[in-house]
Amino acid sequence: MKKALILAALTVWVAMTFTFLLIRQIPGDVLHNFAVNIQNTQGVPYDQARELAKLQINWDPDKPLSDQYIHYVTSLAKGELGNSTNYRIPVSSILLAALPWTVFITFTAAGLSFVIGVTLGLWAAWKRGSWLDPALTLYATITQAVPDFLIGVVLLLTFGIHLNWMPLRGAYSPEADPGLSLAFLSSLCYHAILPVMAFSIPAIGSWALSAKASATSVLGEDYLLVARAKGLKPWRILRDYLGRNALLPLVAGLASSLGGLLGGSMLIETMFGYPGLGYFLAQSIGTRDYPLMQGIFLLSTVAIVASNLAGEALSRRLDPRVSKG
Amino acid sequence: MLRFLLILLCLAFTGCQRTPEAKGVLLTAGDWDMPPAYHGNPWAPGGVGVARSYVYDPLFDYIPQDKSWLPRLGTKFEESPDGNRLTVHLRPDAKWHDGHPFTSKDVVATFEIGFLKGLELWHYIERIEVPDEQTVVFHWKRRSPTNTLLALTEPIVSADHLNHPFLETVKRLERETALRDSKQESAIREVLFAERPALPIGTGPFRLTKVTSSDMVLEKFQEYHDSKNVHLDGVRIARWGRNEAVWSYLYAGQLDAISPACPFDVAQEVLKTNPNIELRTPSDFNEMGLVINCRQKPLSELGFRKALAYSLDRENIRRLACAPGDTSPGYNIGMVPSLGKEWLGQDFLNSLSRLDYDPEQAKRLLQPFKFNGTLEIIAPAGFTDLALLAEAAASQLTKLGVRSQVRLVQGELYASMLREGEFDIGAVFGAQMGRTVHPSTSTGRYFSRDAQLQTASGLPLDHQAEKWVSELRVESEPEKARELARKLAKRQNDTVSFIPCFEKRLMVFVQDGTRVTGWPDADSPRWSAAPLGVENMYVSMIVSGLLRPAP
Repeated sequence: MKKALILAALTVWVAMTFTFLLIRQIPGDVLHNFAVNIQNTQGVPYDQARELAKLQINWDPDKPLSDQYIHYVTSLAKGELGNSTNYRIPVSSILLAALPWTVFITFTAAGLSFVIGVTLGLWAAWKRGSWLDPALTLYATITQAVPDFLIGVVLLLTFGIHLNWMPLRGAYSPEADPGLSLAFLSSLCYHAILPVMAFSIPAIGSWALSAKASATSVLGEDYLLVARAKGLKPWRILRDYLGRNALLPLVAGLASSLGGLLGGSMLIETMFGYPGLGYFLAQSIGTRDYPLMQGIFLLSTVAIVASNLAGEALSRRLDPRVSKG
Repeated sequence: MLRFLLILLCLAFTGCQRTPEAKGVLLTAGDWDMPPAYHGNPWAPGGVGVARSYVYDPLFDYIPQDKSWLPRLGTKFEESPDGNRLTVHLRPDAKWHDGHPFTSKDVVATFEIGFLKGLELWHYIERIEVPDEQTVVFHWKRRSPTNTLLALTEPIVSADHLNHPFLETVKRLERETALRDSKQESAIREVLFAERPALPIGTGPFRLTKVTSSDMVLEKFQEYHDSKNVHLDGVRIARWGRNEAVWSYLYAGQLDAISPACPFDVAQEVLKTNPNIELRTPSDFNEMGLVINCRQKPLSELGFRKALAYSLDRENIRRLACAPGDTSPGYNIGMVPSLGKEWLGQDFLNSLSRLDYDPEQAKRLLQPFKFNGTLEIIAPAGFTDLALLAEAAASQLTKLGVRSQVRLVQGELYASMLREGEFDIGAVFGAQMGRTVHPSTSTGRYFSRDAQLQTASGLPLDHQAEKWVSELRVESEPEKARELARKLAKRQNDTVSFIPCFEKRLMVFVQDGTRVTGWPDADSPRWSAAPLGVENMYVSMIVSGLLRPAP
């Protein structure tokens, strides 16, 4: 475990350095828009406006990259993610506010898609050759091929506009005051339905196929033959024998995938006006808000590494054969 | 996990009971920074957002079509005979949302703090005097035809009682351009920006009561000075996000007033589906067209640029990109065509060389260049009308033998590409009359140092024209101003660095009879105020008592 932790820390550092360099290669001049704004509002020449912009965002992109990197790493070591150049508030406060929203919809979507997908996959494996088998493959192929934001558009048009069943935007109704009240919680869940569906629909197919493959690999095991020979009912064999064993690798996979979801989805969250990390990431890219971009990427990296560690630990716990090699 | 999901599902069903949208509440859309970034400081970046027009009052509203003034915080104003003073009389009964009375000191506070944010008017203000609590006198160091308009329509956003200590620091700042200390100003500006109240406090007809990621909720300010004329109970603003989102809300009948750029077929579908929705199409006082990068051959050749201008069927482009707009004539006068006759005179316009659609002439001019490359027309992503303009132009040029392709560029990158000359042709706003509705603003875009169209074209700065723009800004003598505008129009028309395609008309969708009623007819002069701020126009209609709850 110690080795794994060292490896994880190294991974975070490499990813952090890589994203630091990568986002500075994005075309566009971060100072330009600030400078033009100052030029227009203060009537000063462009060059002077550019100098003022550097002061305003408290950061000079014209400095050598090495200096910027050292500044970034030393700030990070002190636990400072810096201030957003666009919103002018600490990046950490944006992350803290946006994270729960993204966690809520992505984790709910992950849970929902896992339960539905795995159930369908196990059932398809149990009933090999039935109509469910090709239907699942077709569903997975189509939903994996269609981008998730397009699924979001279709959901919005169908349930939000044509049927008028679902709200078109937001995380909760403005009439509901945030807090632990039934009105707020129900509004929260109601508003999450479409974004959760947009995340879940493609994931269900993926989990179903994985579950089917995993279940098929254990179908020929002796303990299943014994269970059948004992005359156990099919649903019990499916749940207690086939399901439990086929689920082992999938549960670890679910734990690993949760970290990847934390970056949110820029398009889905922007489309539904959802105040999660994906929305702020989209905004930060649009305005070349490097500190915010770096903060979100760093959070995602840490989450992915941590969830992989958790997945590995879970695998060891659920299946002692893993630790014994 | 299954239990948890079931609980969520049950809660979701409980939340299904939708709140009925109340009669008398105006639904519209706009943008603001999402919480936690949202704040109510009108001067700091991102502050207040689209609620600005509803929360704050200007001294007067201006209606460009009949050049009339509608009182808001002001009751009347007069200019001294020599034009060096503007005296404004204020309402005695106006209040801030926190109950504090509104006085002339608040006007001073707004303009003083505005200095820090580069309020254009400070080029002309010598000082602001407050003889009493209901009178403000602007003393001008330079007369300008736009001073009165800018002073009277500036929203009054800063209360003296909330900014008093800060104001004392600002008042001590040096105002003369040569003596200004930009570092000191920046330091004070940082103090100003650091103020982040949760919600704004204004004197306007509505108070902002709640801001979420998706909605702004505003309620009628019961102590509003003209409360008897405000018949609506509130305003609900949906997040704009993307044009496509706004079209969806419109289609679903969930907006009462909105002005998105919108393809003609989408507009038709919205109108067909919602019989209560009508369209108003006032001029936006800006012109859209193509700016040419004159840095490299063949685009640096006047003959080639003229050939491009002859190649474009602007009527066709206008129909595709902005159906209600007005097709530009074959000349570029540095201002919107609808104001051309008033400012330049028909005789002058007739004397200008025109580059109307003439494919044969275009082919003749193109022949010597033997151009067989590909031109790239860039357009900013998300600007539906500019993107469609670029598409139509590229298709027409290609048909004529000049291969052209469109590249949509993300907005922030777009401005930088124009400035650096990393393009062949760009779809842009050309003449924009701005809040001043004055040609010095629009011609400044072509001839002022660092102005967008000047830098994009790559042509050397025309010092003579730059001087004329500066003179036009302060020329109060109408005939002399017209003469300067003519010189600039001629100079701009001769360079062919910009090919105007159409004068944009806004598509203001209004829904009458669902939640609110009383929108003025299409021919009402009220709509001409739209380019000065469409939200401000809605509020002006509300405080005039025109809009009422639907029966």
